[in-house]
Amino acid sequence: MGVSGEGIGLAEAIGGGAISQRGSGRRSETRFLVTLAVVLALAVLITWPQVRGEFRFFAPGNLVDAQGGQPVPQDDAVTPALDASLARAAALLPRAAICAVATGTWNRTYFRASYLLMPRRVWPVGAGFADGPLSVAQIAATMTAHRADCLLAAAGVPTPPAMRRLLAASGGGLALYVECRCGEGSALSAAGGTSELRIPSMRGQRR
Amino acid sequence: MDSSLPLSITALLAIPVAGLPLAHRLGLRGPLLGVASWLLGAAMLALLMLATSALQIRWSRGVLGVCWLFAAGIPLLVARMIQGGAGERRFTPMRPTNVPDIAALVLAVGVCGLQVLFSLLQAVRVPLGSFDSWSLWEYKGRRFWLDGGLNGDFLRDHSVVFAHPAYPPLLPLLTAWVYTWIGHPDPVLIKPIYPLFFLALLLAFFAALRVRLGTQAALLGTPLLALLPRLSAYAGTGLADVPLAAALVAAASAFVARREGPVRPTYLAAGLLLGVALLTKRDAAFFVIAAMPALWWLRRERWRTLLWVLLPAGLLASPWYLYAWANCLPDRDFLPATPHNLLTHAGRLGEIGRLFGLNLLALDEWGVLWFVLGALLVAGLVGRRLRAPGLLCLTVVPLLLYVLSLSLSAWPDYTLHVRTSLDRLIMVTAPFALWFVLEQIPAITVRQHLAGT
Repeated sequence: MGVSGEGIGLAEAIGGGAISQRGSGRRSETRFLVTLAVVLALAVLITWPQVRGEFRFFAPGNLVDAQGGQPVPQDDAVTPALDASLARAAALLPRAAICAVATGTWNRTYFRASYLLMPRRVWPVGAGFADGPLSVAQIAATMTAHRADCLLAAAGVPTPPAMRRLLAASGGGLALYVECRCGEGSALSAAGGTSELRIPSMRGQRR
Repeated sequence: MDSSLPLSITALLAIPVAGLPLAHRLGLRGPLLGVASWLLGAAMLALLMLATSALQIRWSRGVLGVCWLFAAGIPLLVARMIQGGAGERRFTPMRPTNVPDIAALVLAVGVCGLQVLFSLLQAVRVPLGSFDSWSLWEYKGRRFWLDGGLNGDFLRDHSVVFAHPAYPPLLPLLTAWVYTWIGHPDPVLIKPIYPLFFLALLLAFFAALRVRLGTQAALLGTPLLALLPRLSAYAGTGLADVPLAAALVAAASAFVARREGPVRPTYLAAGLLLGVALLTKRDAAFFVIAAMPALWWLRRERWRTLLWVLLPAGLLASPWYLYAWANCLPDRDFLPATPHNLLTHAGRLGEIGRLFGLNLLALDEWGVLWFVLGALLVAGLVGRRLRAPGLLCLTVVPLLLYVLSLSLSAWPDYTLHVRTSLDRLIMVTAPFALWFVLEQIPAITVRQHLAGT
């Protein structure tokens, strides 16, 4: 039987006589405890630097329920203000809404909006990968092309005249604008308090 | 009570159960049987989900249930193919090469178990912090689930090029698999697949070392892999690199299992697992290229070996690549590899090589792995006693190809592209580097010969 290594293997422990079995058993036990101690020490040494950096995530109550207000329970925290504004927008917008976001195609703001607002479709206004200042005409053209009913834009970005602000931008977040037919009350105006969404594409598309 | 957790666990367990009949028919036994069941089950389900999308069948629990039944039944076809080539040859179970020392067993199970457990905790509790983890894999998985399949309009859309629609879809499809069963998207319930891939990597590495160097060496070598800082740090973060490494090491492990099992089915298993790697990330193509000289060095079996390994790999991965090609899926990270582009950007090679070299020397990422590999390589070349040079191919050739491909980066700042990806690229080669190192240590190899006599 191929017993490998210099130590006492299982086979030897099983196959030996009573006295040698007891002696080898004790040595095996000692070896087992020493190995266990080494393993635990290694585990602490190795995992502690990682745990230290991520300890806050292991606190109870850190996770948000999947059915809760956050569209994504787990997420990175690189742009918390942006993410918070998108979460607020997601809480107001119907699931079938189509939004334009006033950034270029290759822009983190657009990536985050596209991810956090799912299942709502989000279209970037800027063509290609350029990130220059956007005009009202560009925004209007994008919204028409994609039949968008809402707009996400940073503070100071000009918006088409038919848009009404539903959420204000604050601290690096985005403002939410919707197309409105002012004066006609609706569920959304009750929620947002100011306007009604004109969203023909939304009916019957909830999932 | 919320049924999401038990449903997600059932959905995850159904993956290796779907792959088990095929892995068993391929003659794999021991830990490699579990690894191959997981990987092949995942790949078969992904391909069937791709097929239903191509047929415009919207995913539902019923449709995916039928996919699962098909995946579990495919082995019957493969078994016929194998028997047609190899006759009525009986598969012999792989036998353990020797009985392990209890201390080594405790060490291996303890260290590996704790590392996998830590990555599981990390996966469940730590947010998707890496850009690629949410923008590539989870994003697309969520989109596929919402669309009830792969939507060509979404994948062809240039405005979602940031999600890399042309990248292989294994992980997004597994994400969509779980989301379809639980009925809503929840990263907490899908991220445990990443520690499972980490576990698969460790088991595949153990299986390879066990065949090559014996059980004792495998029990001592596997914890070394589990303790590689960069590997354990990435294992639970939702990136595709550890799954890629798992599939590649499993393929290599199945290939070396030919020492103990029937030759042709194990080559077929290696090829299929290489195909799983190609379905996980395109980087796997570099390892296929690296495997060619490694396979060629085998005596007597050159063409047959290449055919039996590379053909199944191509067959398994080709449906996705054909789909991507037929749909002209957009990508923007790299310039086309034309002679003109290669010559124009050749000046970048020095800087990229320097960055890779510096990262290899980072002790906090790789420990002393690359230092030891360098020293043993020099000693082996001087003494002309280099064992398992094929493993060196699987380490060095992909690294060189990474450097070359990154010279064609389309990013405005190509060094940013290199800096944000090089450690993950190197990580996939690290298991082969460690395996090569262990092969060179005389004490291990001498002991294996003694144990075998």
